[in-house]
Amino acid sequence: MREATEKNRVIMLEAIFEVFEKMLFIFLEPSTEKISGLDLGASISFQDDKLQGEMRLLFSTDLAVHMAQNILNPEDGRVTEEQIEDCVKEAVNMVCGNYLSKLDPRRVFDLAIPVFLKKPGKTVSGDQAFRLDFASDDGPLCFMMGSSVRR
Amino acid sequence: MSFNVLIVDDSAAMRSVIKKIVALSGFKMDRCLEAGNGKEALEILSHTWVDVILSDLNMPEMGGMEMLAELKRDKMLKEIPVIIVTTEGSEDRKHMVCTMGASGFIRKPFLPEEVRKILYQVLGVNDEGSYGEEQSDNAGSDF
Repeated sequence: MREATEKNRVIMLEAIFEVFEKMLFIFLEPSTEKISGLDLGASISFQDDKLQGEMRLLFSTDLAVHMAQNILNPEDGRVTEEQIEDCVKEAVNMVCGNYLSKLDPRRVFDLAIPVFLKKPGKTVSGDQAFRLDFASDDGPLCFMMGSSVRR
Repeated sequence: MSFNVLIVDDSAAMRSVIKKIVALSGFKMDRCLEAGNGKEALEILSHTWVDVILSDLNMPEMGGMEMLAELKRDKMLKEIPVIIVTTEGSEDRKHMVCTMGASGFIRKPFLPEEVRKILYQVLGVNDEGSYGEEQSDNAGSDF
């Protein structure tokens, strides 16, 4: 079980770095400290015939705003709440899809529509659950995943 | 030579990301048009010519596969290459979009050079963006 979780963690780190660097233009550093100040986030559920789970990405407001500005390049630098929500949901969607296709490209997972979390909880449920914390120039990010084998 | 590109995605953020990466790639883009779903894309195509379409799969009102089917039924539009851009990377999904007539498939996340390669490939032009010698390297398309 521990080995499987460690393998998942390595795949997940790769999936997160790829999405943030290639598509969102944000460079993350893994952090060993449990980060606080995570104000908003997005969640996505996934399942196939063997596995079901949930992923969450939690952002500081500063990081979410910076990410939306990076993506949308507004002339006056301002982004709306709706635009931030859209960006945060797309981020979790891409991380989830990237992780699952790295896990096994032959499996077909159903991904639910991402949900925006205004006051995100700090836990996810599942037989296997883990959390990864990151620091960036614009604030912290936290990733959480919980998954269970379908019975 | 430069090309008109239509980006179809229900997320404005994702349309913006794709547009930015295509611009960064050095692909010779003339106009970049945007649609929030397949229905909006067909409306744009009814009055504006585009050279290539980059489309998401899952969208409200009309998804990417339904739009592709509509395009293939239309004499004028059926030759426009469609590249599916999605987070869903399973082999089954690639096979399905291939059989439906998509010209290419690119999985998010992707690098600028990956999108440039597949764009020029489906347009049948070389990496300079002109109809020159055929490219010897056919990587870039998953088909």
